[in-house]
Amino acid sequence: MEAEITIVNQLGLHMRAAGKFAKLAGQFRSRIHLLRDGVSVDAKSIVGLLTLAAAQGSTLILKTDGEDEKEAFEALCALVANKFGEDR
Amino acid sequence: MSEDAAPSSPQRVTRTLRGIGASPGIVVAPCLVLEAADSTVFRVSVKSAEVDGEVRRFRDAIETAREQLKELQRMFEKEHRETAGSIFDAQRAVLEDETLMGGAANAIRTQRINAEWALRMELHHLTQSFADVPERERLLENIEDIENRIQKILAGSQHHELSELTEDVIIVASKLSPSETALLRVERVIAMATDKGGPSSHTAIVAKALGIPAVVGLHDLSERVNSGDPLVVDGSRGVVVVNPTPADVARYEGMSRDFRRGEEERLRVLRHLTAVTTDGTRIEIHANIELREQIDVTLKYGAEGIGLYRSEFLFLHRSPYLPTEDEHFEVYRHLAEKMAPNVVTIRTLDLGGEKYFHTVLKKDENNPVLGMRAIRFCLAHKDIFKTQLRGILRATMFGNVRVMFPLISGVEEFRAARAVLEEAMGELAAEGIPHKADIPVGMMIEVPSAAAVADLLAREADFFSIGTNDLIQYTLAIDRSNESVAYLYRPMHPAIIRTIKFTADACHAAGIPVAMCGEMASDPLIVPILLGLGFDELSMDAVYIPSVKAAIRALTVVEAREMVADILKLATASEVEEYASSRILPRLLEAVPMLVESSGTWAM
Repeated sequence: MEAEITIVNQLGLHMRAAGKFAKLAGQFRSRIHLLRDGVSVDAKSIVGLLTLAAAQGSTLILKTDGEDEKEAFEALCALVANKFGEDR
Repeated sequence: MSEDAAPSSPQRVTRTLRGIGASPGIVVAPCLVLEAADSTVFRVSVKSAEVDGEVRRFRDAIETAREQLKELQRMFEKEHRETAGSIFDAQRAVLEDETLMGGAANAIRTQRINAEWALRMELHHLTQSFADVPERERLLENIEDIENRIQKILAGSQHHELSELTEDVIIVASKLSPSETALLRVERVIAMATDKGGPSSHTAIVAKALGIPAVVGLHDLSERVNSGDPLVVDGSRGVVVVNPTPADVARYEGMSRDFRRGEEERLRVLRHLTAVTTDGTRIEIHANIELREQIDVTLKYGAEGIGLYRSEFLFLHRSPYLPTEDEHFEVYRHLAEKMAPNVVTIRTLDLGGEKYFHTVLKKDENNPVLGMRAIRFCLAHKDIFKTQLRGILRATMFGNVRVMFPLISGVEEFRAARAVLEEAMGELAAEGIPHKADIPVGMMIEVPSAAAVADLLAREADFFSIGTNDLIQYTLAIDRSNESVAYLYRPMHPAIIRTIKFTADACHAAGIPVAMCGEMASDPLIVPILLGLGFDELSMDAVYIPSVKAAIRALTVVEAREMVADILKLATASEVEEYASSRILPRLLEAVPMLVESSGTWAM
């Protein structure tokens, strides 16, 4: 699966958020990637996510591929939409 | 440099920084930046047979760090502080991230380097790639936190020592404490460069003692360079070049060769010559040392005695323990035998002040330079003092030994110190242990109050040695390691010259020898003044002996006295310095060619 997602929380994809994203992604068997401006990183790697430098308002492409790709996709989209559990 | 050598600044700009030349000589080498004492990380090569073990050590450290973070997180979550807890979760995610930790493990294998350095390099590369990341500062703090955690764990296992360095390095630091400097006595450390410190700072003293170049007072050098960056350190001119161009390297290496060749030639010629003026006045030239191992270098440079043995290093090396009487005795006997029949002057313990930290000292003094240091400390801890004095007295049987008390402030203190010496003699006599009862007992003149009563003290002491570093510091009220007032540290201040003259005159009137063992005694531009004032002995770091001998051999005592008469009429330090560079310098240029290079250091 593949779709655009927008980072909506105020701090963007900072360390704690990236940690949560990578941790959640790691719970699925599918291969999961995030792309920004043609650069693709393994979404299970916090280091990879951080190199995307995604501030609030950035548009990223989320790709999931594998047996649980639908569940993974929905869970990750929800995390982003939910501002990684942050207040703003 | 090979690309695995070190993380270094991406821009590689060549920069020339000016500081204060603290010890002469020129070297070109990669630097090693020392950070806060405990977190210093450096590169060590690992033997191929030990690579697997090193990788395992690294993996184990990561595992321990993960466990620690899990535990921290549990604690926070129990207290419902979810936000704080999730930062440990994120740190743990970094630890578990194979791109990073696999990279470091791989570096250990392919480059055969220690785990500490592999981690430092990998994290360095990582932070470079985080240029625009949101909340960058906090991320970097966290990365640093992660690194510190792992480095601490690695250090706790079995860590590498500076003595394992396999390549020559230039040590760069904000400042070096005496105990840190003591750790740097390793062959691979070939120069030092520090942000802080003046020409008489501890770094300068130690660099000179080791005969390696040093530049101090470089402001922010330690922040501008990374370990592995190539540097030129020119201790003769007080210049450091960061990332030198190939042309710079070639030029400085040439100068370095010339410097060494010139030195060796001068040494060869001057070693066996005495410091005698062309009209026949002789000054004995002694060396200042702090380690028994320095004796050989001292002899090589042509010292005619030891004018100052800084015994506090004996204490520093034994810290937190105290040296025993036998340990004192062994070192002093070695010195006495090696130098015999020449004199060995042992200065009793000068712990405290801004230097030589030892656990026996109180740490909570507001103003340690004016506090419980040196002879004050010894008189308050008679057991420690007497142990040392007994060691010195026993060594008198093996050569020509003198004892000297530091930081004496007046007659009472000298008498009190002498009384402890006599007590020690009484004990030894009662125990039937051989020693010479007629050992010369002298004192340092380094407190202005002692200089003011030099005539009274000269009746009681067998000799004086003027310690100019402290004398200048106390007389001019300058903290010599504080670079914002370092410009006021002026050896040629008329107050200093008058104080020295008064002290020397008092010695002559009392018929005892007067020596100088401070920094000033090693400056060829000041030596003519000391000659004119009638000094009997000058003691200095061995490297300066050839220049000082050469200067004395080029002069007559008659002209030196005329120079003193001129200088005593001058009103300011600048006027005296101007006199030295316009009148003394040209007079000595031929005899001491190095002066062209070093004259910039004080005439700033």
